[in-house]
Amino acid sequence: MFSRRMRCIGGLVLTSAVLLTGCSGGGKAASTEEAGSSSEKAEREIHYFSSRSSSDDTLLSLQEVTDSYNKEGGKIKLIIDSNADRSSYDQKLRTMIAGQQMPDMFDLDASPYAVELGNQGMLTDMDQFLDEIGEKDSYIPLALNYGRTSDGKLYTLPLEFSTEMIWYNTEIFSDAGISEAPKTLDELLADCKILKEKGYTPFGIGGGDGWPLLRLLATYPFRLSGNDFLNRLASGEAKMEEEPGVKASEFMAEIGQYFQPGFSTTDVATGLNLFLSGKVAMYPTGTWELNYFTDEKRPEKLKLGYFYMPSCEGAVTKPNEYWAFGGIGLAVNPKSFDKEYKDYLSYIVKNYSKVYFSHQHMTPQKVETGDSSKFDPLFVKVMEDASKIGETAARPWDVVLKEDVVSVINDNLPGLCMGEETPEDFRKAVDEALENNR
Amino acid sequence: MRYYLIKRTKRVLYWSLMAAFLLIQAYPILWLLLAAFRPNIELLSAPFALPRSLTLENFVTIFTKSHILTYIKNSAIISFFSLSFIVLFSSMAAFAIAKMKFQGNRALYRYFLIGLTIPYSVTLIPLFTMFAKIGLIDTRISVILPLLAFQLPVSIMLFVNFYRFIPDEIIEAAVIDGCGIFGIYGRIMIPLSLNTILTVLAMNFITVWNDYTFSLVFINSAELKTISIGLQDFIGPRGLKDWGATYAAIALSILPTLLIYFSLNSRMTAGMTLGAVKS
Amino acid sequence: MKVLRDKKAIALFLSPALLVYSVLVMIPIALTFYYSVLDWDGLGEKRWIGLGNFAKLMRDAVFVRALSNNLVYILIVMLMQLGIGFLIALLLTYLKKGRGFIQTVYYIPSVITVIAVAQLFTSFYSYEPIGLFNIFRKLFGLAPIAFLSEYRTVLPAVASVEGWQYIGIYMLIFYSALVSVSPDIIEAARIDGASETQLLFKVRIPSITNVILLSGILSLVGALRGFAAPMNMTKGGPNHRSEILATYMYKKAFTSRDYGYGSALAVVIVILSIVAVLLISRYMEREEI
Repeated sequence: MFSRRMRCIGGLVLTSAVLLTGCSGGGKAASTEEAGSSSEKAEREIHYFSSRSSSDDTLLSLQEVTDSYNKEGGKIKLIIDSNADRSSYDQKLRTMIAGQQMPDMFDLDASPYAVELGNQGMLTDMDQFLDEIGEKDSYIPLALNYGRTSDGKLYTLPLEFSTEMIWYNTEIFSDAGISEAPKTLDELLADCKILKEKGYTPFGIGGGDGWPLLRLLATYPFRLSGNDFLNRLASGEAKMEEEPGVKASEFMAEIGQYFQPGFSTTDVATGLNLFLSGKVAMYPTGTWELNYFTDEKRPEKLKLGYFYMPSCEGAVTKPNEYWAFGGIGLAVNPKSFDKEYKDYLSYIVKNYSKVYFSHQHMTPQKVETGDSSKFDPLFVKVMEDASKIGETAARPWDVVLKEDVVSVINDNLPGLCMGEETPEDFRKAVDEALENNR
Repeated sequence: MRYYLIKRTKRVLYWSLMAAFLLIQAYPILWLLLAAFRPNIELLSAPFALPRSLTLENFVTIFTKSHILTYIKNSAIISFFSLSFIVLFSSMAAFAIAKMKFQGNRALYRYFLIGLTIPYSVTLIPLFTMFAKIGLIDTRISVILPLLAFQLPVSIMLFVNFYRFIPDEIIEAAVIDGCGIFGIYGRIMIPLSLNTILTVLAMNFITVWNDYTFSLVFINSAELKTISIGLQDFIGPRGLKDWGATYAAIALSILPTLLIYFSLNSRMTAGMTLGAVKS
Repeated sequence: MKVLRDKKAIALFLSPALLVYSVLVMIPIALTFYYSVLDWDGLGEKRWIGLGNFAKLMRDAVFVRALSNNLVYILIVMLMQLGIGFLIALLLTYLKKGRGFIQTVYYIPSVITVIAVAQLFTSFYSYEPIGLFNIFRKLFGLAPIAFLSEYRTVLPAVASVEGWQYIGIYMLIFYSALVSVSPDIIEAARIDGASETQLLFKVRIPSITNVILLSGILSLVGALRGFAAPMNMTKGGPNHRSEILATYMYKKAFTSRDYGYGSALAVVIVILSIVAVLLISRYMEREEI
């Protein structure tokens, strides 16, 4: 009698096993219909693992370009899996690659990790590819070269072009008697001091997301040495104890007192809002948040201006050289990069920027701007600035330095800004990390 | 009179304590549910002020920009299968450990208990490599299996603990009645342990439903994502997050669990003694 | 009894759990031990470096901090879950109406994903825009605090989140145990003139010691596995002030891509876990008698 019951249980195990595999298979089949074109022919699937949110305009544009490729006879089904939380994305990508499951297409920074992957022959050389299809000149050099690794190789294609600036509330500034935006870092600190004495919170920053603080840290070194100091840090030739590092850490210790309290866990959305609601006088961000500042979108009573990276005494980089980059780029798994894939990718290269531009974004490739009156004046202005940008752009530290060093910097930076840690201790911690990561 | 006063003070004290604890526990939840209906901008500027306006915009966002219902469905499927197998496997193993006689009984129990405190992240890389080799990545099984494995120790512990309270005489009597070993398990132990089963379900459901680690690492397709991972749909460039939509998604995701809880409430309480009260 | 010695049946009952558990938990742990003697970044050559990672561990100040933070973290979590959980359960036993409702309210937090709870509390702790806790501080005339940035507040702030979230479960467990204490015993004690306090310490608590110990184990297990709350709220910062072993291990293995070192940390966690389990099973064996 009872063994029948046992058999039942065994049966349950089996059926559910079948059901489960069935389920997952079914799920995938469904996704196929959704993502691809309507054609019945055997389609080539390309799996793209993206670090952007699924509603991001880069992904929408890629999808649009894919659709028109298929209309012209292509047979590509672009399957986008995305994970917008950057640390989750990085972890996942690394686990996938360590487990030999590299996606066909994925987002990758020109980091030391990319160098390693490249050295193992696990990335497609984009210099070669772009030369082959004769499209290299279509790119804005700053955007394309942003994707170059420290050894000069190009493994990724940029999907955006952004610049970073510091926004300021003109009403708060004039109330504090500051007539113009700071041009130098000393002026910036002096303005902060005045604002604070007036009872304002001078600087809002989304420190919880890490990168905004890193940008400020990198300011002095970029002004004093271009990207040279950073590159030498990365190769182990330089130490934080040298002048640019000393200046950088002391600057952070000083400007830190002007941040909003609790900045180290403020996320960028909250930081942005502090500025939009007039609670802080300044806020650093990039053009990807431009939509929040346009005439149409920003709160009516907010009057704002912006300035690019301030300069300093003894600067070797020009005022028109600042943060400008192509964003995290598109990398291609060489194992799946066959003729069909190549054809598809060159179609993307040829058509992507046009489509992306129509969503009102600066593009990594030169595009016909046409009638600019349909765009927001702020967007047009920022685009104009970008066309006058200098030859060098500052490179973000979190891309160039090894992950372990970056994580040590990220761990220690809030303490430095809060005055809990001295600049000496900060430099010592970073130098130690650099030493350990030779 | 004095006695009356003391009694009254006591009562006031009792109710204020009760109210304080209730507030601590309930306020965040109420706030969360309300936040789902508040515009993002208000959440960012004055999250704890009285809401000035309510909106359904967040729900529009979660239904248009993400596949929230699919995520909830996936979490439900994964929870259903994990929980079924957890209960089945752990009650079987616990029965053998607690009631059957064999060498190494105790050592085996200890072997299972080792897994009690192991953090998930310890095993991620080896598991991923393993799953990748046999092609399990991006299937529901790849999430169900580790959840099942990691929840076995605690479930076995709960079952063993309960089975040990079942007197051997009952088994003896059953054997005399001609019951085989499977009969003892299925017709005596299982019906007796219904409340323990509910406890095991309740405790594991929380872990399984809220799983983040395994779903994050082993699931790629949007069609198979679970709710914890789906919340990342509302993060924009460089970490810019849509808080209103996030809260709306959270609010929606706790509904099914609340329904289950309300329907099981009384029985669950009965089972929660962990089978360990001597009565 | 012969039936209970049936080898085939024993094997049948044990094998599914044993198989799943061994393959998916124990083998990966064994592999972790193996990785811990390697210098490996998850990509290139695996280089054998013996106990090098462990030697590094001994000199690593962050590791020591994470370890001590972890103990504090466990302590806070257990105190909240067991202490508050018990207190509420006790209060509930005096309640005549509305228990079900109150229990549910307490249980809800534990079914919400930790990610959400972490976000919720980040805004509760916030300084600007002002969070709930600082609104209260202001009401009492205290200066607001950036809870998650201050060195001295961040660890308790983060630990309380995990503590808070699961109070309901322990409340439920304690409540169920308290009400299942036989009413006859309590009545008898009452007739003997025992006060409520005496009743509590002499009758109720002694009859549920088992449940209390078992809850202690569950809570310890949960706290040892704690990870998501600190990771999502502070990433262990600022300057490792809320770093615990699990977050540190995760960061080393996945952010710094030092799988060897991360695995060495994992081995430490595993060993600590095993020690905890040995203590637990000693208690279990005592119970058997």
